Amino acid sequence: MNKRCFIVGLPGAGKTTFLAALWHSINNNSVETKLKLNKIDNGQYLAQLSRKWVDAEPLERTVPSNEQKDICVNLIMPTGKTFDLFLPDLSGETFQKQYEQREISKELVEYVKAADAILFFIHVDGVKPLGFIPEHFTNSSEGNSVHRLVREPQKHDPIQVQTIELLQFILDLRKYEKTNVGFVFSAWDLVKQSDNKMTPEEFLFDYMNMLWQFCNSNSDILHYSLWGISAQGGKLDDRDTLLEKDFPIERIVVEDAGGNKGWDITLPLYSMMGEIE
Amino acid sequence: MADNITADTNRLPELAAERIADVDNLISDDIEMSDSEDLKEDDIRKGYLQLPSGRALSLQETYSVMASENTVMIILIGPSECGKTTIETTLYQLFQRGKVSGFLFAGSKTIQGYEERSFYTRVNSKQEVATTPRTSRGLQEIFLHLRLFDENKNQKINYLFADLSGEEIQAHLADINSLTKNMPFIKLADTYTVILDGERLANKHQRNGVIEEASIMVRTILDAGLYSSSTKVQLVISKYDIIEGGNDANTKQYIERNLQELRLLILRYINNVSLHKVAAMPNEGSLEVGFGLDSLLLSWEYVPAYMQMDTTYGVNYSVKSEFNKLFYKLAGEAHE
Repeated sequence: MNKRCFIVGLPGAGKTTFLAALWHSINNNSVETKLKLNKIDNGQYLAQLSRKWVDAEPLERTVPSNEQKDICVNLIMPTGKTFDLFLPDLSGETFQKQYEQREISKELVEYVKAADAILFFIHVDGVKPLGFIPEHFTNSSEGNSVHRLVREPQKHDPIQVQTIELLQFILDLRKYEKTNVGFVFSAWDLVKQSDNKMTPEEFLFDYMNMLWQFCNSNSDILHYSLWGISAQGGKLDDRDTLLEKDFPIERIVVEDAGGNKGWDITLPLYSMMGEIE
Repeated sequence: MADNITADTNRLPELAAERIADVDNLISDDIEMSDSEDLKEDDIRKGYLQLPSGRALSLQETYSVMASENTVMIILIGPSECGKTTIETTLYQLFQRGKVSGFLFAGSKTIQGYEERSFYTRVNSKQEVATTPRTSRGLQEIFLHLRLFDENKNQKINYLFADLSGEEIQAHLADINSLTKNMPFIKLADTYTVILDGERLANKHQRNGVIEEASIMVRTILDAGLYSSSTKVQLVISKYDIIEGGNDANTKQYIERNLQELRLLILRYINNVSLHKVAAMPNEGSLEVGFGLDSLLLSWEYVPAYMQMDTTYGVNYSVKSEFNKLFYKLAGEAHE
């Protein structure tokens, strides 16, 4: 039995850190997780990531030349059923290119079409409120400078807009077949620092309302779930604090849409993969 | 083709817009429809596919939208720099903050088009006065697209926006063939949104010209028969913050009276005319960004095709053909 999860996210969205923490979690027995590794087959890449992750060392950015398209892990469910999960680690620049240069490799098109679910990573730090000039300056201001800033789409366009555009590409490629999308708000600890009661559901509604509208008005073609995940547990600058935990897995925070918290980073995958026959 | 049909006595009476429409042009072989018209093999980079550009759509690119889903085509009419593009882009931007008038954002084929037009109204452009770049466009890419979800009716509706400047209309003044040849989409308009520049209306030396210009533009279109029984017209005063800020009773009274006159003129042709005050990106005064756009959006209401039929057409009709029976069925539904 095979399952395919397509992992999407702009540069620095937390995709690789998630995979590192995932590998550690499925290999580790100190904490119960829904999915566990059944047998090691070709886990070299993930094992390398995980080795750095446990010591809270920075992970290298996945660049297009270093993309891992054939990651496959053999997993076992609580029921004892096993399956192969394919999940590529693609560079954020690949998705940036889709947004800015409007092109996609045919190989990726096949991945998108074959995916059982999409895991979409959004770094909470990149989500900024939309500010209109008239709300910040009065007409008596000095006026505009002569040198106009040139718009750089990936830098200036709101993250929710870029997310919607990438989702539209995915839905279009899949011919509007109903698609299962899990949104992962990464570096979730940053949100909790400023508002401890905020849930992923509230974060989507309050800070990315256009994306909330898009998801809710397209329920005929899109089913979505929400997760707040801190795969690293905090900022790497504060490495000593991160390493104080007895088990690295205790650094992980996973929060579901409604705010239920735990350490099980396999939950998004487990819930999205559906029934394993 | 139209002449042959006229000979048939069972034929339904034509609407004005149908009479002048060059159907052959509309249903031409040039229209390429495929199930993946948005995805094209890129000739430059082998192994790559080109994704939709996201920029404004050409008329041809709108056909797949119009053919498959509920669509409202809105044509904004007004002189250059009267605020047409700012109205279009601010409505899009309001959805980034929340739903508008019970509508949810359900997608857009022109996100790039919106974003590039919106940038200089945002704080992160590092400007201190909001501006919308003057629309520079070729003849091809003219439509902005919004797909909205109506919460009350539980349906998705496509909105296609095209804007026509006074200059473009005047270039074809009193020459309907030239107008419809150069801008064939005008025949497909469900609603005309006529923009009157509030900044110029607030100026005693310019206001008569604004009314005069709007009146001629509207008459050019209506006298050409480019409307049907269900066409709507909105008379919109843009930049209303300037009028509100001026707080001049005389100006307000002038506007009130002249807009009523304009409305009466349009009512000679069609029944649905509404008046709106809008300040999309107010630079002064206390009005909020997007002021008036919620009611303007509601006035662009989608009317299903069967509701657009003027049912009085059927009254003296003999039911001979299957087609006419179908017409009665649809007209019957329209009354329900």
